Amino acid sequence: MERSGLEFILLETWTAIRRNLLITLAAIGNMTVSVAILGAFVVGAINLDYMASLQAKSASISVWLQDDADAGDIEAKLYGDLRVKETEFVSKKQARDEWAEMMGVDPETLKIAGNPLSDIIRVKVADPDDMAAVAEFAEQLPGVDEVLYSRSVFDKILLLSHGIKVSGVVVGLLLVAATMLIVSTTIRLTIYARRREIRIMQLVGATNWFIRAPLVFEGAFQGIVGGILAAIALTIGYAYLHSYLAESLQFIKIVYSAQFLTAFALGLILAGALFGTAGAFISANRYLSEA
Amino acid sequence: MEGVGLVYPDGTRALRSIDLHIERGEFSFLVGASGSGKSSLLALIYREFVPTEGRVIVAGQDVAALPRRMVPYLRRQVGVVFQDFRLLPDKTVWENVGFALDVLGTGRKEKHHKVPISLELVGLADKSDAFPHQLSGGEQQRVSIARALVNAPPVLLADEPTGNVDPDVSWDIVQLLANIAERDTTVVVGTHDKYIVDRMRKRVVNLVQGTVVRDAKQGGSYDGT
Ligand SMILES: Nc1ncnc2c1ncn2[C@@H]1O[C@H](COP(=O)(O)OP(=O)(O)OP(=O)(O)O)[C@@H](O)[C@H]1O
Ligand SMILES: [Mg+2]
Repeated sequence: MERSGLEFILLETWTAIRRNLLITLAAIGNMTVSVAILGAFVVGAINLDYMASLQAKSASISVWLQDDADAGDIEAKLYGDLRVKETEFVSKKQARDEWAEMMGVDPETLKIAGNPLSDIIRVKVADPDDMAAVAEFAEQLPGVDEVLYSRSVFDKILLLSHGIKVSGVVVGLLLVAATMLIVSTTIRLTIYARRREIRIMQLVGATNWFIRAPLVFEGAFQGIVGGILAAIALTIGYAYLHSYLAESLQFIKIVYSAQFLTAFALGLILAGALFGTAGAFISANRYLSEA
Repeated sequence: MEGVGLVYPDGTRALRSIDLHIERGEFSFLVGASGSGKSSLLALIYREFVPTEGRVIVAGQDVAALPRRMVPYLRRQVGVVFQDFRLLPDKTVWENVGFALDVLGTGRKEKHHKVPISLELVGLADKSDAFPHQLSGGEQQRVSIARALVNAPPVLLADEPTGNVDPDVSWDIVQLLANIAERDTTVVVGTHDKYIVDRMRKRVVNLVQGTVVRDAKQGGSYDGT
């Protein structure tokens, strides 16, 4: 196509945007909200995953040994398991001191009562999903008395992370569908406003490609602007959340780096462009195949 | 056209076993009462509709067999003019004519070459910058003829081109269309303007209820039944 062809298409696109300014703004607003909600879900899922992996790093399985157990042999067996990342031996005496410290009492007073604890091997796993399986494996080793780990906290985080992923996909799909519907409605209005021109274009032999191009550009424009607005809003909101957490809830850690934020913002803009283009394409095609 | 019939999706039969051959560069009238099928017949030629029976051959191609994506290329071979002009109100005369080239992706240089030629041909070179609402009906129809011709199609169809203009202006418009036929363009004019048809002494194809009842090769008068 010659340059004036593209020039013509861009000019037509711009005219349509100006003519339907209010509707275009409404479509952009909708796109912004949808992409922002979608983005919030994605960023939520990413952070829960991140927290789960942080938890996994610190969380450990405590393997309590019987008094006569061969601690070295059991530790070797556990370490030999591929899912295990790290093992640590804690003697009965160390365990008592730790416990006393945790309870805030003097270890000396505990000595009088004798030591009710036993030797412990602490095991860390590489993947938090393997926690339960490794615990089970440890339990059936000879010489092991009891296996404990903070199953409840851990399972909750994993559950939350899975839950948010599933609901994110469901809500995300609904939002995408709604967004595309709104864009295609806007484009239908443009088609309606331009039906005379389109009719003439068809009569003088413009290809469908040529008739469709300004409509698709219009949808892409709405999508990109909506995506940019969503990216700005979410990035600011996220930065604010980050500084709030850093001040008052330091134990909650979220992913935060320039690289992450850039990728996130670009992803939102790309998503907007994609939805806008697809929505416009659908309604343009529907109209042109009817005619 | 060979054995052409057309039944609309709602069941209305518009045309029945039409056999019609129009030579290249020929000028002919298509006449008949309202509802006799003039518009329908023209619509088959620019493939607004596909015949339900028979074949329609335009410039050697079977229009009915033409795949959808090829229709735009057929339309570039067939200029169409309507009773209601179909001009864009927010574009000037020049832009309206240029629009037909714009949407084909024609380059600027070619456009600046072709638009004036076409406007000159219809006698509107001095109204280039006017908007449609500043023109008379006859002038608007000339603009739409200029637009139909700007791409130099071998076939020009006109459906009631004089339906919205004064009688003496109508005569000028039809004269203009006849002149265009002189330049080796096939022109078919659908009309029920008896007076003009009688005066022109050109070929007249008379439709009644979707069939050709009369085809007077030389200046037949209009039998308006
Ligand atoms: N799109 C359509 N769908 C269904 N029926 C149609 C359609 N267009 C035309 N018809 C019917 O087909 C028949 C022929 O109509 P057509 O428009 O071809 O007549 P015409 O000779 O051009 O009439 P006029 O002089 O009033 O313009 C009529 O009975 C009309 O009602
Ligand atoms: Mg008609």
